[in-house]
Amino acid sequence: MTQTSLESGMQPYYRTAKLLGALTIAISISVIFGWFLDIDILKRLSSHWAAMRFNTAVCLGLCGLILVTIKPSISRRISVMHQMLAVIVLAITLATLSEVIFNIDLHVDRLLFVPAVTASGAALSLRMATSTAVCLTIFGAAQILWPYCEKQGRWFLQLCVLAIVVFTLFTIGAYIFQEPNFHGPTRIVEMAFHTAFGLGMLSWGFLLATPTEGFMARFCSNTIGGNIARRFVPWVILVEFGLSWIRLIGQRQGYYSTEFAVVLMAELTVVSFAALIWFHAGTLNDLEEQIDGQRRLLESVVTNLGEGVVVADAEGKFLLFNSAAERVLGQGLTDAPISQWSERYGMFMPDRTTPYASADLPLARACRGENTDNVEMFVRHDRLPKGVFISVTGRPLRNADGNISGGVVVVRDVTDLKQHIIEMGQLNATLQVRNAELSASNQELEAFSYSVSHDLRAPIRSIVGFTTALSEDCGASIPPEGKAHIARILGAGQRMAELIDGLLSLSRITRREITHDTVNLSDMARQIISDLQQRNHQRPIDLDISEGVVATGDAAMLRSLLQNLLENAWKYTGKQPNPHIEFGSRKDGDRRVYYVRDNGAGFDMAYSQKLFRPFQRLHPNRDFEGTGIGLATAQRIVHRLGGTIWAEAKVDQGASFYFTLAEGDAT
Amino acid sequence: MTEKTILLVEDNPDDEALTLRAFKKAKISNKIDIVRDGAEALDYLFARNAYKNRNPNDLPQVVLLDLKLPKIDGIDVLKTIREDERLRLVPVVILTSSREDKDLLACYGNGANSYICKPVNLERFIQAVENLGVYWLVLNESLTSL
Repeated sequence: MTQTSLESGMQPYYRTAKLLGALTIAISISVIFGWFLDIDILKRLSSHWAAMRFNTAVCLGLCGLILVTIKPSISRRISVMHQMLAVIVLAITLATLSEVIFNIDLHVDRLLFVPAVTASGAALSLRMATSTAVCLTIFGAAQILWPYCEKQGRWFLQLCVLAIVVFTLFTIGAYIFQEPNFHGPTRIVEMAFHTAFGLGMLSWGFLLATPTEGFMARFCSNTIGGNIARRFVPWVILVEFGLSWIRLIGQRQGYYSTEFAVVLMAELTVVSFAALIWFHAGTLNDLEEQIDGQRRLLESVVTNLGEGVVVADAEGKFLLFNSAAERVLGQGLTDAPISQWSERYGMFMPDRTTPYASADLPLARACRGENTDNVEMFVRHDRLPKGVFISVTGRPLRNADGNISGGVVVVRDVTDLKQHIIEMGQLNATLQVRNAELSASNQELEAFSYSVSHDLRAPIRSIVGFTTALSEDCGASIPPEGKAHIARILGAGQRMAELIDGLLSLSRITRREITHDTVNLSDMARQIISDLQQRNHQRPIDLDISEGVVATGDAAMLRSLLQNLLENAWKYTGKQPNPHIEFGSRKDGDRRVYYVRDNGAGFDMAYSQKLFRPFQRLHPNRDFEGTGIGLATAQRIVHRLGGTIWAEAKVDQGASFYFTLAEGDAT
Repeated sequence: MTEKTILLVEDNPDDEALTLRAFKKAKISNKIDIVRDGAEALDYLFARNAYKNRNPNDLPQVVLLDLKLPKIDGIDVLKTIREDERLRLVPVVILTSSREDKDLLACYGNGANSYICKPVNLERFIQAVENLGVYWLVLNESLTSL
């Protein structure tokens, strides 16, 4: 708890002290008025009682002024003012006391105020009562000395002030109970009733204004002890004074004998305190139950925690060793001193062989006030022959004063974790090897593709080229049958060239690096169709292309994808009297589904599995020309762009191709 | 400088024959010198070794260069041409069967003037050669004629 929060809880005491100071000032002012206006009731309350002297009233007022300006932390100016007020009070009281002691008249009593001759005419002594002077001297001295005192000095000052409280309480009691020495014409003690009252309030206010010091700290604290003390003290005063008064009244009236009164008093005291104690015992029991419940909760949490918890005090004596710690470390608490911990618990460095220095163990360091985080070590001993890796985090424990009272460590078994990390490392290494292999085979594939691209095409070119030359140069001497053969050779060569091109474009998609573009697929589709129409003598077609279909992906790949799907649709609507091709998209959950739909030849859904495999065709070449590469290419593009492709169709009722793209495309 | 010579660098005799046929069909009657590999092409251009009797200043109007060649491949021939002070302005047209982006980029990156992928179909090849002839032999003003 910090100083400020400590003092903020103490505000009510300061407020009470101020209130007591204000009340004292009120009494002081009324008495001063009494003297100036010669109103006897204000001076002495009752005609037989002693009067409060003018000097006393002034001193009480000054002391009250000190109390009303008191605060948890006061400025230097107010502090100086307090000291000066106390010095004035002390000057008056000390002068008065010296008059008494040395039997001289310094006219202190007439220094501030000279009363008119009273009605009774008696030369009235206006000297402050000696007891009052002593009390005020103590109060003033305490006020002056307080800032210069340390702990024990303040204890002593509080005790002195408490003595005033006790004395004034006694005086008030004596007045109330009409003790003759305090009361009536024969009185020997001269302290006035309201002087006692004012002094009592001042002294109690002084004590309340030091709620964090000396013995008042216990009384004012927010602990159970403080609470009980604050309830007991007023109760004791009230009960004792109340009962005594009742007893006295009864006895004076002659209702009962002294013996009966004593018994009655004792009995009532016993009953009243028994009741008080019984009531508070209940409160304490409730509190203990609460504390016990919390203790049990904490205990069960610590016991059942999956992680080991070990607590030791500053000397290294184990205070707590939960079952998880016992399980992880293979043994429970021992009385080994810190210097033997490493040996006793088989602690090693992570290299498994170097013993850990006991003084460096996280718990030992925590007990010295150091923090440690995730310190890794190895534990092996008779009961843990295989050994375990542990990770330890340590923190010092501090008591209420902030001093180190011990340390706590949390211990985790990380053997499995370490094993996983090792395995992961191995997996990673394997993966890297695989990756290298893959990249090597990729390079081979590239070399192969290159070779196919260049070398395989050359002979075909020769075959097609020279066959063409043959038919051109020697066409006249070749019979029609021969010309038919030549036509077949040319057709086959052409087809072979197309197959090679298809294969190459398929492999290019796999090797290509993907870019992320925003592509207007509607525009792209329209352009592809327009190219197709130009190449096919403006074949009439009913087009339905949705506006503003935008996708994110590799522009070149998306073009190739749409080209393949639209060319497909174009091709298979070739024999349709009213060909219709549709392109658009719809939202399906959080994904966008794009589609290309036609009313062409369609296909039997039973074969849809074969649709996207390279060189697989569902139509004979005689009906529809093709290499069987287009849809395989489309699928490979969609997969590379992170989506899926599928088709729905019926024979002679057209086909619909649907595809999605990467997840982020949904907008 | 009366006749505009074309230098054809081609190792495959079939392709050579087909190319010559395409030239003929495209009615390009320029003199065509043929070399069979990269090294020979450089010898020709630098007038050295077997070609030391050639006039080194007699540069071809256009070089038709295959990519995959014995000894020194097409890209290296192209680089050498572009690095030489005297040869660097000679138009070089790559004539190859490769359609790889990689090759295309390498050619243009090293200063090829044009890139023709040899089609299987002879008709289309003739078309391409015709276009080539119109552009490089007829329309394009060569430095030597200035």
